[in-house]
Amino acid sequence: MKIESPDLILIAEDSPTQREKLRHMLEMHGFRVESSANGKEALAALEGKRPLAVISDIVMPEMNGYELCRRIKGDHETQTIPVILLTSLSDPDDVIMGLECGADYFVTKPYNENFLLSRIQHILANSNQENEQGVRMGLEIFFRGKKYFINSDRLQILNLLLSTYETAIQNNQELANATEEMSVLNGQLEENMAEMDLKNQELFAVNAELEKQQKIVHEARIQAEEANRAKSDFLANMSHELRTPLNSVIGFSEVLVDEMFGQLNAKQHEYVNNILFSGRHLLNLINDILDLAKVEAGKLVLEPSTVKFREVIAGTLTMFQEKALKHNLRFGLELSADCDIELIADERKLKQIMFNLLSNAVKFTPDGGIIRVTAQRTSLSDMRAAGKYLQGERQPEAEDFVEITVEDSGIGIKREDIPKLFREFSQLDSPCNKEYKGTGLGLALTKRLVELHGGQVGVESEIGKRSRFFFAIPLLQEITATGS
Amino acid sequence: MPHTILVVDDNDQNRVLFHDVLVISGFDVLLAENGEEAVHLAREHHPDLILMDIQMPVMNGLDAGKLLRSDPRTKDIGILALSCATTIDDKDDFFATGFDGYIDKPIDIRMLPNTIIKYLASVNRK
Repeated sequence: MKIESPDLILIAEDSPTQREKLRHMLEMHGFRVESSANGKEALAALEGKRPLAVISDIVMPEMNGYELCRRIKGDHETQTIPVILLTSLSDPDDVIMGLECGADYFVTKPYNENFLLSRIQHILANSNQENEQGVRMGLEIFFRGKKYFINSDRLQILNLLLSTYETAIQNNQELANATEEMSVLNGQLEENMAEMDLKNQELFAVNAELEKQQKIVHEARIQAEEANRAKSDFLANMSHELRTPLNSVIGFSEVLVDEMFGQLNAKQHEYVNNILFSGRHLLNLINDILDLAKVEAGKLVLEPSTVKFREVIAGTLTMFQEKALKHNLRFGLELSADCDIELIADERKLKQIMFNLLSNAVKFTPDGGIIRVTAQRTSLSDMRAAGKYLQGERQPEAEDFVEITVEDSGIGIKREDIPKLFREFSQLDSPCNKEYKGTGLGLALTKRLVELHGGQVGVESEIGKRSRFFFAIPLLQEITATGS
Repeated sequence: MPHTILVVDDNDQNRVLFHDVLVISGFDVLLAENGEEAVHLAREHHPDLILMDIQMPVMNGLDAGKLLRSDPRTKDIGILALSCATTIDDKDDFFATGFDGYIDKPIDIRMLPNTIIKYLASVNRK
């Protein structure tokens, strides 16, 4: 004899999450729930019990929902327990199979909570009547080439058909909702499209404007480049035109100073010397302008050769011997042992660099001062770490460098003046050796020449104490020591 | 017998300077204002050496050099370019044209006689 449990519902569902969801929902509505993971477990759970209803999934391992239902309906003891199948009812086969197994109700998956609850309410309300009114009908139907034997009472069949109908209506409703939602979305989409069109038009306008600007910038750049080239050509031509007559000024003066055509008196000698000195200064100025113009026009190229480093450095120092004597300046030269080498460089330009730095040192050092030239090996990473070099237009590519420093005990440079130093035509006043008038181009050219070698320049100064100009040029190939 | 030097330069003062310094140093000197004059004088007098400016009106130094080299009467005359060009390309031009060398401007006029004597000696050794 089964124990009546009017508030117990048995669930057969293999998905734990689905099972828990269903259990939770039913418990919230005051039912007791017993759950099982498949048909077999559900049958076992039915032993000695008579729940209000069985709610079963269709696809389950071990024993599916149809088989479970068929067993319940085939057993005299349990055949009156209402079975609710959770089915998709999307396929006529589902309907036939449902009929065949004798299920009482069908709820579509994914199920609507209220719909399922209304089914259970219906069972509660009609449980007694059904038992009495059950009129069994045995009928055979053919469907899709298969024969099915349906052994359900009329109510069951009606329920199934109603469920199917209800599902269809529900689906219809959902479809109608979806259609409406879609039309709203469509409307929005159209609005968005219109907006997008507008945005697109704006974008086109902006793009056109941008292209116009780009064209203007491009043309301006070409104009600037042309102007720059014209400027460089002009400077180069002017330099040539200026040098030609200047060369004869210097040439005639030299011939006179040498007294090649007869002796001069003291005054004449002094005057011709003055002409020669001014002529040479002017020539230096023009040469510097020409070099700068060439660097800017990209026309100044290096003429690299193997250079005996010590000889070049020492050689430029001797050019200042006269000045050193006159102003009682002391020169010091310290080359570290690993700098007594041959390196690949443009010898003339290397001399020019040294000459410019030494000229400045002499110019800004009061009488009796000291000028020290030192050289040592360094590397790109050390140079970067020291952070004392100026950023050039090009990044150095080499790794090994030789660093040459020219340090004077001169008046120093004001911090605010340092950025101006390497600019063209920016000359600081020298209170010291006035006769050493510079061109205002020396350091600008020096920087360019060093950078042309792939190196960098820099400067440090303590006002009233010293200035230290240094440059590093790369060691371009295997270095051989020249010995001492 | 003194060597004859043909100086070709469009600048009047330069020609005077070259003339006076070379004459006092014991050379015979011919002067030309441009490449065309130089070619005529060279054909007529066959100097021992030509000092040739490059940038000149009428005919420049490179064109004159080419003409001189292509003429059997003048093809053996030594030519030194008076150059204020400093790039390798320009110097390659000189040698491609058949110049025997170049003297960079600015020329140290006091050194010029010695430079010429050295050059002539080296040609004679050949």
